[in-house]
Amino acid sequence: MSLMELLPKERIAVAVEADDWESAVRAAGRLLVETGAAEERYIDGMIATTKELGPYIVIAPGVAIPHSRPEDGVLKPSLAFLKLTKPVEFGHQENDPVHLVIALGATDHDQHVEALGTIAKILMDEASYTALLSAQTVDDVTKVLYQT
Amino acid sequence: MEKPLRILAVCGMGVGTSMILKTQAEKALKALETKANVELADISTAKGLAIHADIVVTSDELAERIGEINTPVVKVSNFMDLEGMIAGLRAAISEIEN
Repeated sequence: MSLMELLPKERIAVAVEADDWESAVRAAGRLLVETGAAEERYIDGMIATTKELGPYIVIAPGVAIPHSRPEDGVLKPSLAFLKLTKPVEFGHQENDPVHLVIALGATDHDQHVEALGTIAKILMDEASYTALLSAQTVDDVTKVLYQT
Repeated sequence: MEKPLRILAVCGMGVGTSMILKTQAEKALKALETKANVELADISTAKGLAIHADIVVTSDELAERIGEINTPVVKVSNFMDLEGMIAGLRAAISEIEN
């Protein structure tokens, strides 16, 4: 599935206020739940998994990809993107603080291959990464994410 | 023709982060002109599967949770750092060869 299919505009939010990593993950999970992509319990699943496995989900400076197991309440393969107004600490040694939270709802390995590849490509491109960090509107985000 | 290397990309649940690791590892292996198959594993099955792998790739944070293994482990902190992945794999490959 393409990035646009997994991450439609309804699952993108900017200027999100969060006091800590937990409320940031909840806000991202909320986007999955509100758009029918995951059950409410998936949000708790992401929190529990992050606590259990540690902050390894902060995969790059400023970027976290919280997720949990498919059986924790994923209804369809999906991604949610949010940009925080002020960054939060996840407890990662090198990649904190986090500005961008990309929640992942996976039903298996395969549907996300293409989309995660696209995201990785975008995050590795400095101009795109900077544009995401300074995005003020959802359109600013989609301009970068849907470019390919 | 040499046998392709068996590389295991390990993440917490085997559905998200390891997918990115796999993509990055494949790019790095291409740059290193090394033939390899990259497979995915979650942390709970990694130790068992690592026995059959030549190299394990995982995040800094998860490396110690795999436990004691004899397979060289490439630890990644920034998943977007392709140069770091290339350097890590290059070191692991020369470790196997010697």
